[in-house]
Amino acid sequence: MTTQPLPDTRKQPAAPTQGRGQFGSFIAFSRGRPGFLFGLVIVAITIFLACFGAIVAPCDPEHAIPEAGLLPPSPVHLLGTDVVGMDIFSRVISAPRIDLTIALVSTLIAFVCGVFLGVISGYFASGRGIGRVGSETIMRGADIVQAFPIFIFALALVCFRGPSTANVISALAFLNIPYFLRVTRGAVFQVRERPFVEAARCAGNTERGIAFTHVMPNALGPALANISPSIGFAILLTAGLSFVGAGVPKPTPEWGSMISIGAPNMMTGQWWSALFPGLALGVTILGYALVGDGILEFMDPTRRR
Amino acid sequence: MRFLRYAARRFLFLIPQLFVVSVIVFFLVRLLPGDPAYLMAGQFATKDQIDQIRTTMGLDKPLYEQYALYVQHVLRGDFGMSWRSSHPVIDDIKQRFPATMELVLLTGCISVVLGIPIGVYTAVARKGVADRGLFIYGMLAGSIPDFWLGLILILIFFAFLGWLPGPIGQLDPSMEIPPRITGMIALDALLSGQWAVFQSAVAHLVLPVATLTLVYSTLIIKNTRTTVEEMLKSDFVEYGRALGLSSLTLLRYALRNALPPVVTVVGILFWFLLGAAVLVETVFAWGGLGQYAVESVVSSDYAPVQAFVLLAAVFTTVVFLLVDLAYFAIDPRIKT
Amino acid sequence: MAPLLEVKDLRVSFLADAGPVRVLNGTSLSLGSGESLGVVGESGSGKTVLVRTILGLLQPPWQVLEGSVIFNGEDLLKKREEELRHIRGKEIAITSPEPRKHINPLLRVGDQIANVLQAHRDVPRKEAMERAVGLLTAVGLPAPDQMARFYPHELSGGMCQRVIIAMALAHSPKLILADEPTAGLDVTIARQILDLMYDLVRDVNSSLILVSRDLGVVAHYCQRVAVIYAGQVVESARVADFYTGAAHPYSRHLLRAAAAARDERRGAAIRLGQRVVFPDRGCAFASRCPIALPPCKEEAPALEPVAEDHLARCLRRAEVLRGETQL
Repeated sequence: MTTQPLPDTRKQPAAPTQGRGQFGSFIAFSRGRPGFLFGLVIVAITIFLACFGAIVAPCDPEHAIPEAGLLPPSPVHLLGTDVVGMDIFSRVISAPRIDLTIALVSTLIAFVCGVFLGVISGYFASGRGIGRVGSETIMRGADIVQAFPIFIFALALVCFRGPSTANVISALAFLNIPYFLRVTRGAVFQVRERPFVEAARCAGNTERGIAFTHVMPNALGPALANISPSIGFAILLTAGLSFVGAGVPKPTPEWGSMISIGAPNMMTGQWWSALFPGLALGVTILGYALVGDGILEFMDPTRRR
Repeated sequence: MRFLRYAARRFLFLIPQLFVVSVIVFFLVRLLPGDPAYLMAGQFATKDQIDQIRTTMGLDKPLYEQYALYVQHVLRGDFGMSWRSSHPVIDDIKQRFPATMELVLLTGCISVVLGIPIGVYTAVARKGVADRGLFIYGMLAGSIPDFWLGLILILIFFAFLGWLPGPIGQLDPSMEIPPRITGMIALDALLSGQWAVFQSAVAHLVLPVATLTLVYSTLIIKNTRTTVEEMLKSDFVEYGRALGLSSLTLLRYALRNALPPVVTVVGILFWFLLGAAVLVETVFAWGGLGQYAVESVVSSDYAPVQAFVLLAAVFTTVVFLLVDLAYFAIDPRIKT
Repeated sequence: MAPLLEVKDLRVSFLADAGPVRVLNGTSLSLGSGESLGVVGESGSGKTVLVRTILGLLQPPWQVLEGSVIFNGEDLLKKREEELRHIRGKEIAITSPEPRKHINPLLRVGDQIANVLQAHRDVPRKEAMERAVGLLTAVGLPAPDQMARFYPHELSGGMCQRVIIAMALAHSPKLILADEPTAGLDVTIARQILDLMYDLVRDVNSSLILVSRDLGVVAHYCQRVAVIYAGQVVESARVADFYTGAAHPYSRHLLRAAAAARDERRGAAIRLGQRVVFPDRGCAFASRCPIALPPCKEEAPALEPVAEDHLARCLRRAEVLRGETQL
């Protein structure tokens, strides 16, 4: 009774589009967004410093000269020295190595596990039998992990497993899994309704095969967009743990532990030893967050301001 | 009534939740290599003390019996001894708990009372300057470490300007602690009419609360703003406009519909605050649970850490329960 | 008698990322008091945009480029928001094609109807609630006092649509814009809803614009029909005239498709190729028209009479009307 409908030219795409093959539009996208560009610059700088920071540093970041303690910023010591005489500038630019390593490794582990679990719990959420059970168990597990405030749980894990870099990484990875899990699950819910999934099913693929070869690649969007802010958050958590003494051990340059070294001096007005690492932290996390926002906006045009 | 039925079900569900949480906490101590009794007893323990702990924990018994013993102790309020303070952990906790609550509750209330109206205002009045300013503030607040901000505030307001007291805890050391009614020093001073003490307590509260509020109120502001904005653009508000409803009515519609998500965010705020309190208490030497937990972690005093984690999880579980109940009360679409 | 509503040469565009998209390209129509007009066209032809423009509901990135909407002698497009507010819901009311999306999910339906009543009339709440119950009765909902206390998610799609109609008709408006009132409803319910609207409109002697993709519905419930294609009215006629002999190739295509669907004769519909285009010159339908001639691509035809009270936008309208073409 109705006529042949034509495609509605005005409809906006509902699902996020993949970034492949759209490099040109990505350049155009970045051009108009100073915040995003700023973030990219920060990310690039931190990666550079992580690789070469200790090498380009003017002084040895772990060399303490007690007589040169608490010197204010000067041409020799660009950002001053801390209470035991270590050059702050050198330490600030050497810190990304450990911070970024921890953050990257833990985020990647969390990403891989979280996406995997998210696909399972999303795809099999309303099935029968073992898939459904598995899905529910995963979700309850995520709920339990998130019942603990994240920093406290990290603290506890590091406490009970011993303070070491590996333990910090595994603690952070474990605690970030639920987040990747949930965003992937949400994306899977949308993707699995799409016609090509039904088509794949009709073609005789197993449910598991469909879940991982067809649904997963299309549900990666939100998780990918969250990698960058997760890295930033992981850096923040590492700094917090190091600040209270439960993270990276003392002489190793790390922004959080530098702040804790410099904290007592803040009260006496010698601000430089705690200020600069914190500034570096803030700028870094801001940069990663902006990049994350930008990627999210790029992938989902309906969110553009 | 529908609500009571739902509340009863949620409370019932609380039990298995707490069960799982307690199991996790139970296993925490056993993550470390070595003899748990030795670890719990601490460095200065005598052999007798270690043996006693071994018996109390039932370490020679099967695992599920150990867990049963653990639960029994917890329900009796026995969390073991802190070998650092030589007190039962439960006493240490009772002593310090109100201080942490003071920070968390004050920050939470201020964030909500200020944050929601600000969020609503910026959603409605989309003026350029306020919008950009808030956006930038939001981005900064989400990036700056809270413990560092606390130090900066101390630097400015104590070291440079001298307007506020330094980070030496809740009260001026020359002042006497008021009689303990709630355990929150400022409140107790107020209730006992000790004005000078009250003033000092409030002065000491300003910086830690300001630190927490500056960093975490943005959660409320941004979420309220986003939700209200979304609601104002929603289809039913559009349609209300098409039927000639006044802007005020439409705003009421939007706010009413924005309430459920905002309530959830308030719950999440308290979840964040508990973790943040740990760091901020350390910076300000606040003497609350958070600082206690940190000190215990650093000195490998495991009994308090275990207790603290359990309490934190219980606290957040209860907060989320309350959020669920509130959500149920405001959103009629939730099924029992 | 002066028409109640007169839309003159309306041009509306949408500012997309890639540039402005023309949606209404010179739409004109008129409607008298107590008349009912069916507006038909396919998705994307601009029907919904048309009714929303009448009420001034368009926001950026939508833009009204040209044209006027004269209602009761006044151009609505020139009115301020505050003045429009007094007309919306009171003089002109619109219904929604997706009732569930357009009702507030967190308020009881009775309260929502009462809010609409109080928006335009100074009545105390208690009286507004009573009237709301009365309206629920009028739209045929069972147990109206209890129904008023229900939330939208507790109602079926058809019931929600009745609630929308109750809100739209709350002030007995002079003009009702029914935008696909039966989309998504099953056939029996759709029929009931349409009968209901028809009766209510007749009872208060309102005018009705019924937007639909369904020619059968329009035939049954309207006096006149206007066909929209590519943002323009391409044919306007009395229903009886239209169904016995349409004068535009596109109308013929619609009628054929409708007949084919009804009689399940496949292949009887005319095949149309690509999408709707807005050419710079010539007839907008020419690229898809099976009987287009070279002049059609040069000269854009105007909406001209082809018979009494029968307008068509086609250079070959006379031939089409007399059935001299293959259509």
